Amino acid sequence: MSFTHQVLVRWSDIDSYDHVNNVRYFDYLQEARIAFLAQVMGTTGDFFAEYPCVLASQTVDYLRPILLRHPPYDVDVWIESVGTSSYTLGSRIMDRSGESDDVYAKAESVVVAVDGTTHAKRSLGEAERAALLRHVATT
Amino acid sequence: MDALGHVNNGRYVDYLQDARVDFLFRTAKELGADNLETGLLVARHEVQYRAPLHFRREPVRIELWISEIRAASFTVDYEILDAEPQRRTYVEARTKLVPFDFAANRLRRITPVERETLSKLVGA
Repeated sequence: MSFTHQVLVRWSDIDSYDHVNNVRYFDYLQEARIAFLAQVMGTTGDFFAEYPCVLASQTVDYLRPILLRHPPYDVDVWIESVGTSSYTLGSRIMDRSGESDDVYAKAESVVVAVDGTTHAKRSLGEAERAALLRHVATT
Repeated sequence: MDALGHVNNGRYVDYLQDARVDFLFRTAKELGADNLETGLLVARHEVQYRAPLHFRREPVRIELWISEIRAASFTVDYEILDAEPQRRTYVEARTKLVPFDFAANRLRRITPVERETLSKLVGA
């Protein structure tokens, strides 16, 4: 499965350079990541209540400025690798509104499964791990 | 705060931005590099989340310094932590920045004045 989440730039995302502020990319990536994980795990309610996890690290490469405009941008999300208690997500922000498939940003996020109450690291559950493994993709 | 009761991952990057803008647009300006604020783009962020930060009255401390200066880019390293004496670390991060000439719409090299100023902030 390839997963894409559409993000529409908000007026208030723009900074004094007239483009989307770098920090807002983290919000776009987060919105797409949560939608992706909810779909992978088949949850409709609170994803974190069922599969508690936290972000351990994130790397974002900014390749092109995102501008305020009406057609939404696409955020693709996929699983890069799955460990015992953590997994790595790959994502990229794309423009598919025209002829070209330009990449605006690339990101890698490491997610660690934690206990919902103590927030201590936990092993991924069998079903959880199997669902994640089904969505591993290389690009 | 997000639904997990701690500071959301993206908000740390807001905190880092506030500290970086103050550091580069004010401190660097005072030291003589007054062109950085007219065009400086983020090329890459690397953020390591070490411990969750919960709501509290006391502010957290952000320490930042220049870690590398190249021909057309430089790197800022940061740590978000408790003030002395605990010095508990919440986030470690690194940002690669590129000077950009908006009038010409292209990346530009670091000027000698900027290089001298940024050099004073290395590991500061």
